[in-house]
Amino acid sequence: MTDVLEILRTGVASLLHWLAWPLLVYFLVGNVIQLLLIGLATADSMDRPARQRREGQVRLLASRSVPGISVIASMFNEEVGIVEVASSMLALNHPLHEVILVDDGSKDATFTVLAQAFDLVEIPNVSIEDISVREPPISTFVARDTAVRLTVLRKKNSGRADSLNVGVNAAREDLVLFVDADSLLDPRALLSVAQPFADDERTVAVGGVIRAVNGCTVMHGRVVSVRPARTWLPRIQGVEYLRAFNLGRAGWARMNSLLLISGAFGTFRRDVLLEVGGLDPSSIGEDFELVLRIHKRMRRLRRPYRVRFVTEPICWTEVPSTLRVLSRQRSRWHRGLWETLWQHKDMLFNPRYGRLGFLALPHYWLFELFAPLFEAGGLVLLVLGLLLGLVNTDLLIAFAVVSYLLSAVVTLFAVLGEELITHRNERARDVASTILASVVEQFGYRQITVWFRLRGWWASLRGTEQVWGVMSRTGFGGQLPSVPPNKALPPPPENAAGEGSR
Amino acid sequence: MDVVLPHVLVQGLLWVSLATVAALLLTIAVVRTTRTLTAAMSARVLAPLADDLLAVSTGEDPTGEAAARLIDVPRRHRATVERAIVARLEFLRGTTARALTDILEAWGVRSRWAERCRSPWAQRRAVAVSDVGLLHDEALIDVVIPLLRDRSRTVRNSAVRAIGRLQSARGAAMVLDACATDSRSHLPLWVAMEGLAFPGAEAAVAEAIAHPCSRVRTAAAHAVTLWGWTSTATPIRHALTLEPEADTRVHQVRALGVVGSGTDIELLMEMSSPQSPRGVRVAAIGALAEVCGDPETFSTQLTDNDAIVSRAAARAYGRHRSTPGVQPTVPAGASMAAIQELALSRLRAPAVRLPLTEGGR
Amino acid sequence: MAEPLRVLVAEDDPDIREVIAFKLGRAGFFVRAVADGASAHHELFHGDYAVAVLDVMMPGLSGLDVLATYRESVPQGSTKILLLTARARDVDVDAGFAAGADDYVIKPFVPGELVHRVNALAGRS
Repeated sequence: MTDVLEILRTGVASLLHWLAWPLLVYFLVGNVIQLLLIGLATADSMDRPARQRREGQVRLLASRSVPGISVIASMFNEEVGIVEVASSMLALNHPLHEVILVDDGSKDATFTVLAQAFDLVEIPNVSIEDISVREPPISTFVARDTAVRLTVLRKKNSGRADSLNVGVNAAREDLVLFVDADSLLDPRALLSVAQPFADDERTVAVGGVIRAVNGCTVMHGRVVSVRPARTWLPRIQGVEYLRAFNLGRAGWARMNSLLLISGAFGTFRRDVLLEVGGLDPSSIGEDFELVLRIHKRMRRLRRPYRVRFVTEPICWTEVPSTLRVLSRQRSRWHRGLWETLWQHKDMLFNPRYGRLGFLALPHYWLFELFAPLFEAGGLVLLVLGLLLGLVNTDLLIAFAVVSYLLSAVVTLFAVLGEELITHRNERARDVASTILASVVEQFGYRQITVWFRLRGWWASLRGTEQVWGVMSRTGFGGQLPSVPPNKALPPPPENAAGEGSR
Repeated sequence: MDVVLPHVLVQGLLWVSLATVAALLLTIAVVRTTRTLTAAMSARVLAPLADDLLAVSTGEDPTGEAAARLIDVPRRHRATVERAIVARLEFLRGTTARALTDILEAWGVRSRWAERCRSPWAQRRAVAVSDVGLLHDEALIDVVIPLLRDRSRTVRNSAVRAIGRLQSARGAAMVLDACATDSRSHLPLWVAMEGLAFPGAEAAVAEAIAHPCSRVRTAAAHAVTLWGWTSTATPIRHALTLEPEADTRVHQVRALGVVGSGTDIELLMEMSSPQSPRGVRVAAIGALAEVCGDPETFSTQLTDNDAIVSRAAARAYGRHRSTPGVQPTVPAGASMAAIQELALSRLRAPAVRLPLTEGGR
Repeated sequence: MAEPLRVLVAEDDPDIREVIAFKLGRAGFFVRAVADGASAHHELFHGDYAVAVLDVMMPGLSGLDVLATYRESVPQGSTKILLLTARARDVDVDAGFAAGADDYVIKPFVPGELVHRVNALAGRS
């Protein structure tokens, strides 16, 4: 018995000996990179304060030179909320936009409620296959009142990516915005995303901030009051989104190395989408995969291009409020991340891809993909070391600092950045609750997501087929569970656990 | 076999992190309180003047007493009141706006603002040049024009807007020049339009239609599409026949649709032929719909192989044929996309236009 | 002396809101000024307004949202809606009317002109 213990002891001791420093450095570097990204994004956004950006939108509108946008969403069994969502999308502030809803073979009354609410009439069906699709539309409907630019396409079920491609084929405007059928948009959202395209002809894609709607007050499809969620799980995710999205992504965009635009809110030039062949229906991380493919094509053709990010809070979605749904979400994301990174491994350290190949992609591999592995490993090692009396206080403090304390620093930095950029003047109480949630995040939440992500990765390596599962929502309006081939992958938080392993 | 970490390093790391946390918390608190305090301070300055400011802003100051009191505000408060007046000038026009600018002029802001336009801080320059525009005096154009080439994008955009407000023909010409691609800091097209949105820009635009840089030609053509100056018809026509860039041709074709006439049908038909790129063809079909009364012009394009083109043709065809209740006939051989578009035309009632009352624009 | 007619003003910019409220007040209306669409929505349902002046570009619930929900839920509603907008394209103006607006004013505006329009909608000379 003591022999076993002795072997274990020696084993753990030597592992610690070899891995302690690398792990410490890993977490330190991960956090420092996050700080740099956030700093970059904040400095960039401070150049154009929020008020000026809003004025810019009004001026863009008045210039009568706004690019048109086709808002496209794929629906599956959305009968409960879809009419309100469609109305709110039609009422977005933009002089030249249309809404295209693709019914991906819903089995419920989704189409019926839409047909009734908008007085839909059928028009001759045509499939313009600029992008080849698996299931072309079976029938096409428009609102009888053509001032309401709503098109509903019905097709057989083939998943979100294929349905969105069908929507792109039918789109008439120069820009395309992909949204989820349960996303809520601010009325000025379309102007916000159109601005980077109007400002710079090289822009091919624009990502945006997605915030958690849990806890907010929603009226008629609009968020009228922003509050943190009432329960801990969504509240922590709110903090995670704040740190990981707003500023992490904006930082990458500033270096023209933004790799990830969430499918729940991404704007693309239609002609570029046609060039790259649209979304890939066989991919699990189809949004990530699309952006990578766009980068690839632009660089291969040596065409000047930009992928940008707007930091105004204009898109809201409900985040999982139960561990079960969260687990499925994070597993799926990590699986998609792995498969897409592997699929495009030729971009890694490839000089043709410049900053992407040498900065952004290595970062994703090391600090996103491998993060749960290092965290889990480090945690196990530390616990074992403590139990076996191999760990001194210095080592313990060092780990605690580079993981917990530094990520608290990163989060506070993000909160400060948000204060400086948006001037939204949230209640002090809410800011305090955000800060508190970021502390709670370290003790338990991080560790759990590590487990979920590892599970997803393992499932992919073993070749297990992806089960989509059901997300039952508690949010605004009370909705039926929907099967998420039509729910975009949740915007994966940047570096959600590059730091903090305990 | 303990892992040895330099004790000093660990302690240092710990204290630096704790200090950073404290510093960040403090900064957040400071940022929030500063914002509230500055707002409170300016509110306190403005409170006694609120009624007078309202009176002048709304034209409820027939005797000019309120204006006089505002002019007499002590110097140390002028900066705050100045900001309040500028804020109101952003959304007011007419006699009340002039009454407000009179107050500013009485304070002699011109020289101060002109000076601020040369400030080393970009944000200051941007605000200053925007303010200068609000004075609506063309004489100030020389202060604004240099800022079209400023190194800050915000400043350049504000300068263009100011030119639009000052309504200077010379400024319009400079705005068009600033669209050229050789200048590293060329203007986005939509921003340039702000600097051309007045009748006096017509001459500058007409000249820019034949500018050596294609981007300037595009900007000029786009401006014609928005404001339809008929005198530009001939230059546009001429430029279109010589234009090498397809993107520019799209804008020129659209412009011709707005200012052209029946004599342009042949040229537009040429532009809509299959030799042209898709974008040009679609634009040409749209333009033909504007200048040409005969829907039969589009019958060949209705059968075109390119779905987008045949759809555009159907749209043009349907517009002319559709009076409410009457079905446009479907020509033989029309593509599916065209048939779909014709069905849409059947649904469209002619747009209901309410009589626009005077002075609203 | 008749009850003054009630006018609702929904505008998130405090300066604009103040100017409009003041001018309409001087013109003899009873003015209720709110800063966001949600409050405007609430007021339209519970108050009895002759005219509502709504800014189109408000965050949260925009003027168009308030207009659309009012027309949908109260089809017989007698409140006339005037939209305050920065757009200057005919297409958008038509869209506003198609949604049920009765008139529009473009920013920058002349305060006297705004009162004139509100008077016309309220049925006064």
